[in-house]
Amino acid sequence: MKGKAKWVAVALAAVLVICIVALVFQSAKGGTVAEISKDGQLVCSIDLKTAPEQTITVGDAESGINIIEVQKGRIRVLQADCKNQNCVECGWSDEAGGRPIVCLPNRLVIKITGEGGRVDAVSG
Amino acid sequence: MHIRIGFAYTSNCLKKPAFFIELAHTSPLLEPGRFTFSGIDGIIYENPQKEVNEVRKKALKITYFLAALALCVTGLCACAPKSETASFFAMNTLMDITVYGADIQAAYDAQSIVNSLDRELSATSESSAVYAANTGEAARFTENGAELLSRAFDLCKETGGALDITVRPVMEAWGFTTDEYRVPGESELAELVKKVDFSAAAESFDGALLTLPEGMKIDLGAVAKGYAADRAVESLRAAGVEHAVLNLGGNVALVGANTKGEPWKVGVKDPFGKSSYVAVLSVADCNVVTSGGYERYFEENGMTYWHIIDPETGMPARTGLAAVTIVGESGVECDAFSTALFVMGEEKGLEFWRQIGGFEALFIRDDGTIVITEGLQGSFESSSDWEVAHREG
Repeated sequence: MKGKAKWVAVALAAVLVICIVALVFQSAKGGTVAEISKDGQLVCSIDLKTAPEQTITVGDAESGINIIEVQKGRIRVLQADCKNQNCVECGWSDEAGGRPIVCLPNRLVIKITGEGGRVDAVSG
Repeated sequence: MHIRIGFAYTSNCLKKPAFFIELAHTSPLLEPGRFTFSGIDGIIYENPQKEVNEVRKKALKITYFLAALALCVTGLCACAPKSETASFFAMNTLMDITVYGADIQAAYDAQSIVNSLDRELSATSESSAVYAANTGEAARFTENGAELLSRAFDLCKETGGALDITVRPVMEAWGFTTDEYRVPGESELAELVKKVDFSAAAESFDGALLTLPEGMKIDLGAVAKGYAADRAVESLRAAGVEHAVLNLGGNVALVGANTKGEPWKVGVKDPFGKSSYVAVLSVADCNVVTSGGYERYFEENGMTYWHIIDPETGMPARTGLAAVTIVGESGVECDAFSTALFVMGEEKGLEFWRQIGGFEALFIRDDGTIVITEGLQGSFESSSDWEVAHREG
């Protein structure tokens, strides 16, 4: 029966690996990953849970500059050269499904993706 | 002696194919135990049939177990509804159309409907019909554009002018159309307010062609997103989409319930910016539209001036409200009413709700307390202080 046990063990291990991969994939999807995009192009995505405190500068003088701050699981636009400053006034964002931070003049969007949010959309 | 050859479950079955030689223990010559014969490994059992049954049972158990595990894994994957989002800029805002368990193409098709409405209705794009109308030309509208325009005139009338799409010259004076903010003088506003008159504009519209009286300008900003949501939802439904969330710059439209059959959760943005949202509505198959002073404003000499203008005075509407959310079936109505009720204030707004009906409202007062109309009871959650307004009373 030793061989059969081994075969079963191999099969079980395979199933277990699939399970773990599926779970990891799930939790990654449900996590708090901030996606920064400009002109509809993804610039970078940051896992807010694990990312160190940092500032990220997106854009240039021509397309407009936004300085983004990441801190303790949340993200915001710290500074921007746009006229209306709506993106800065938006403040911190930390939940998936929440209202994205948008800088219309600079075509910048910060969105938190995943299934981890408590709401499907925010009206306002 | 009776010999049967069956499927191998021998010790080295993984290494090389071997036959399980099952010998009925009928001959006293054959002792139970292992044997090798001409390179074939086998076992002689005392009760071969019992052994075979047991092995089969075990094999069956393992198969069931693996099948169950496989189901679990696929079940886990199935739990996360497959959703795809079309994300784009239109009507001066970010828009998301998310479809669940449906082809993303449906979302793209809805997007192109919104985009073409945007091209027609934008007050700033020089090639739009609205732009042409605002320069005094006879502007021709498409079927959709014309439908929105006549709907908008009706809504202006219905709200008693609390919503007035001809308020644009006043908006321009405040700089809300260019982000170059300024506080206009009293006499300047008094002059401009004279030209705010939706009924005169409505008279100059023949159902397709709009020729505005001189000096008059329209802005469909308070209704265009709502109307776009209606057309986009219509297109999604026609494509067979059963679950979708449209977020057209804070105007939320919902198709069906979520994929589990439960209502969607829609947050109502915190107008004071302390948290993401102050209330959550559990709703399905409807629109949730919010208007608030926080959306566009500027400060000068310690005063805050926002973009929701009282058409009567030309001044930002100050009625003790920070935001108004409307929940209802028609996107264009919700959009129009959220602005109109903000201008009316809580008391007049509730009176309007009692008279007109067909929608529910949520008022956030300047002090952060909330008033909901009775139809929202049961689908509303909030940690703020709140009360219910009833139809009678």
